[in-house]
Amino acid sequence: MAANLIEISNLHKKFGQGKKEVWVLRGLNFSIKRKETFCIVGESGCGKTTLGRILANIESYSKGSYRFSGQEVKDLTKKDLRSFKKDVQMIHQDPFASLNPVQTIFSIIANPLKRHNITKKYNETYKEVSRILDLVGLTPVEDFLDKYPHQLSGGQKQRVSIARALTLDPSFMVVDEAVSMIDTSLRISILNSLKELQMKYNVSFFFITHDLTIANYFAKEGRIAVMYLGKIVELGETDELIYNAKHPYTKALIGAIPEADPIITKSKERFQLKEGNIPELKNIPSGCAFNTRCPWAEEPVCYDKDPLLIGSEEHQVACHVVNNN
Amino acid sequence: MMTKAMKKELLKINDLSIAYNTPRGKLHAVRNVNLTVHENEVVALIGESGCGKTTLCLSIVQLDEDNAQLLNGEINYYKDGEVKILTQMSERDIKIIRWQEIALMFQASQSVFNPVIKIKEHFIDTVKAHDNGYSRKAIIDKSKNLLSKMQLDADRVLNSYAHELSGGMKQRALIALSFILDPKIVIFDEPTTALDVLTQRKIIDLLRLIKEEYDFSIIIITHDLAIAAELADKVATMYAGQIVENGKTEDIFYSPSHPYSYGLINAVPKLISDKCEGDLSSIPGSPPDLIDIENKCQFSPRCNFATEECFRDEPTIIKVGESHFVACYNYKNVPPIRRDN
Amino acid sequence: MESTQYLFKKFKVGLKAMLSDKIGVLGISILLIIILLSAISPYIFPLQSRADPTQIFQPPSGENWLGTDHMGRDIWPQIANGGRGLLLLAFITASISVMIGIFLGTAAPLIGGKFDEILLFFADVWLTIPRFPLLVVLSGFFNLTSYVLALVLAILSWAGLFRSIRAEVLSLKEREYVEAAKMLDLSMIHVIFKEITPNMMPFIIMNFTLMMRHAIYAQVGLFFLGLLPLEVNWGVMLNIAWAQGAIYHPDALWFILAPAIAISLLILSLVWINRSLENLFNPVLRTDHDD
Repeated sequence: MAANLIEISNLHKKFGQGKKEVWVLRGLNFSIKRKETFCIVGESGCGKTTLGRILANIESYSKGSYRFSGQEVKDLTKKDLRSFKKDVQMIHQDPFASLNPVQTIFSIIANPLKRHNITKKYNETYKEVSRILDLVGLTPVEDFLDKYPHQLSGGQKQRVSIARALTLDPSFMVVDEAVSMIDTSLRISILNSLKELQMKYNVSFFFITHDLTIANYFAKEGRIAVMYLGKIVELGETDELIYNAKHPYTKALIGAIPEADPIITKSKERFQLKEGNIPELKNIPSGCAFNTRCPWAEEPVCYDKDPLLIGSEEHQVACHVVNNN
Repeated sequence: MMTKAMKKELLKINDLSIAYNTPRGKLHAVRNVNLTVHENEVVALIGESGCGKTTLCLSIVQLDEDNAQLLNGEINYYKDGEVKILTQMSERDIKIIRWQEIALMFQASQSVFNPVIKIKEHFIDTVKAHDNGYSRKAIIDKSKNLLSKMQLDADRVLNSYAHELSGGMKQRALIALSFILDPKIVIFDEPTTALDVLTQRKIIDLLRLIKEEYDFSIIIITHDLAIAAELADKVATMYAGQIVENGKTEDIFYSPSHPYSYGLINAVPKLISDKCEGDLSSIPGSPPDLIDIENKCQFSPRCNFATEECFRDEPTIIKVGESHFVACYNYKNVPPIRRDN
Repeated sequence: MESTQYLFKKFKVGLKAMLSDKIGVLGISILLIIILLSAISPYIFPLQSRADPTQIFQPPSGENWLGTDHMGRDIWPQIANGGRGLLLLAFITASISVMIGIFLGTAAPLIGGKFDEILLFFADVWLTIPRFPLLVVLSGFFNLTSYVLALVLAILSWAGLFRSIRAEVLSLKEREYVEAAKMLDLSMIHVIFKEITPNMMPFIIMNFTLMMRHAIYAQVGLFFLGLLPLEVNWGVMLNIAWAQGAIYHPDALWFILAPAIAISLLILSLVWINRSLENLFNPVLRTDHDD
């Protein structure tokens, strides 16, 4: 079978028609293996959420190829689509909005089980729901089964979301900023639960976040891709990318992030960017989209050609200056 | 750099207790809080949601909810050698203090700007509401000055509507607006949530810059310890309505004395700092119900260092170092934050 | 089924909250009194069918609480019995139109595409038709007895309700829990009845009381104009009182005032209930709080 679970090739996405069209994803190339953690990091507007939604097949893609388990997702038949849906699930950012307020936790988990005939009789369903809730750390299970979402804390709601996603035994989960609406002191426990699940369930994660610190923690054994204005500017194994960042945008991000350590954070080396404006997606400059803010931007190549993402398996960069040295 | 000279006290919160009257009973949001803010000082209030930090700050300018009740204590504001007791002031008097002496920026306050009037009208309205006798031109000049300090194109921003500005620009404009009347204290509630990393960095750096240039104090309410580490001179940890630890930033971050502070710092992953990652863990459990308060240390059910007396009696605040206070029986057992190497 | 359990729980909380809103309590009380009267008056305050010429336009007294009408009959039983027809009709009309509204209003946005566009266009055109004049014209051609009237009214009013419900469904279907349900491949029926509709209940109830008001206005209007077959109800009383010149006769004051006040009270109670429902459904039930 295909070694890679997911293969993305020259992926594009546009919104709008004709004169008003905007290309939010402008040619992405990467792949994700089974049981891998792949983090996508970028600031708002870079397209990471749209990319996540395309991978979850909630949005379609305009150009390029997205192969899941060897099959082109655009061409999936209705039957294939049903098994795709079982294989790919998504965890949303907002724990408040992702659970239906009129359903109990039991129902929320039981609905997909019943729908897909995973369990048939009531006591089978009860056992399975309890097992899954236990897996995500909502114990004692009896305390949660009859509750409604508004009676749970944000972190607990997020765990219910994760439990729901697990019911169909997916091999791939898109996790969209799952901890950004949760207090900083509670984030680690949710991320740890996700990592444990990866061990038990052989799930691959596509983890979307704007917080490199969280990405560094969660994707410890995985890879991070940094996105800027619809393209990946740097992609590599986590430690390699963080300690050996090559792209100026990545360097700027790493230097800019505050840390919970007064001396380090105040004396941290900053990578100063030019004062330029962030271009709007409908008006991307020719050449490298980063040239308005890049302190290394060189004539003529950075204003002429869009840099390609090239490098080794462990570390790829899309920057003329870096790749030409 | 801070000098060793004694800074004057600016705001003193004495034994303050505030409760909300709810159908289920009194919710004790703030309990016996003692906090002093000196001139030219940045104090960060850290803690999980619901610990009372927002209620505490709203009560300074009497902006708390209608069902909030002052149970005991007072808030004193010192100006020109005079003491003003803020908690006892009438609505008319406290209005003069608000924004002019003490400015308050709410959480995620980017929707504070009225979408149908230009930014400059906001500045003008704010100043005129405090009846200062400034002319329109004087106000605009001052606004331009402040906006430039925030690295914004002042003319463009003043003539824009709120929706024409990005999130980061609105936040900076708001910060400028907080300073328009030269307040002595500015309270920021989560000033950088919902902002991108690079924008956040800009705002942190700008705040540091103007703090050095102007003479005012800042209170920052945040659950993000990194922001506290960046900007604060002093950090106060709040839990279940009380201040459980209070001290200089370095003391709190490197040798915390309260298990909750210790837990908070170890719950945050690092990027390039050398904090030992083996200690990284969330604090299990959740904060207690503030309606039925038992007489014990409120943190004890979640505490790794708890002993018998912690469950019997609520600990009181004691001094454990220079400007370092903690409410814990076992503070001596709390280890310093471990570092790699 | 536990969405009904949940709704019941919310109903209890809602009831408690509503009872603390004085206007709401007033509204509910008035409506309840009117309903009660309508139910018991055939037995307790039977209509006086025989005319008594000696008692024409008598002022209120111990025997005739609100005086007598132009045929010497006691006014009070007429008032007590006069609300029944109106209420029943209003209730039936509201029920039918809400059902049409829910059915079309959920199907259209969920099916989407041309179906939705056509229905929307149709509704917009329908909304331009002046409802009351059309009713007047129809009553000239058809014999609009109560149940037929209820159906006609319901059909005439479908467009507004359809648009409101459609708007609500459009927003609800974007909710993340609906998206999650689709990702889990839960059936369309499940999405409509278990995910979306229970979240619309407050909205539906409010629209229901609104429809009742419209139905009452339409009815009273038609009765007042004398376009509907006579029965004993407040609208008819107004018609007769007006025709009999009760406005000019000081002793006949109650004959025209009583039904006018009764109608106003009914409408007012519905308005107050609607208002307190609005207050109720906006902050209290929409925020997360512990039971």
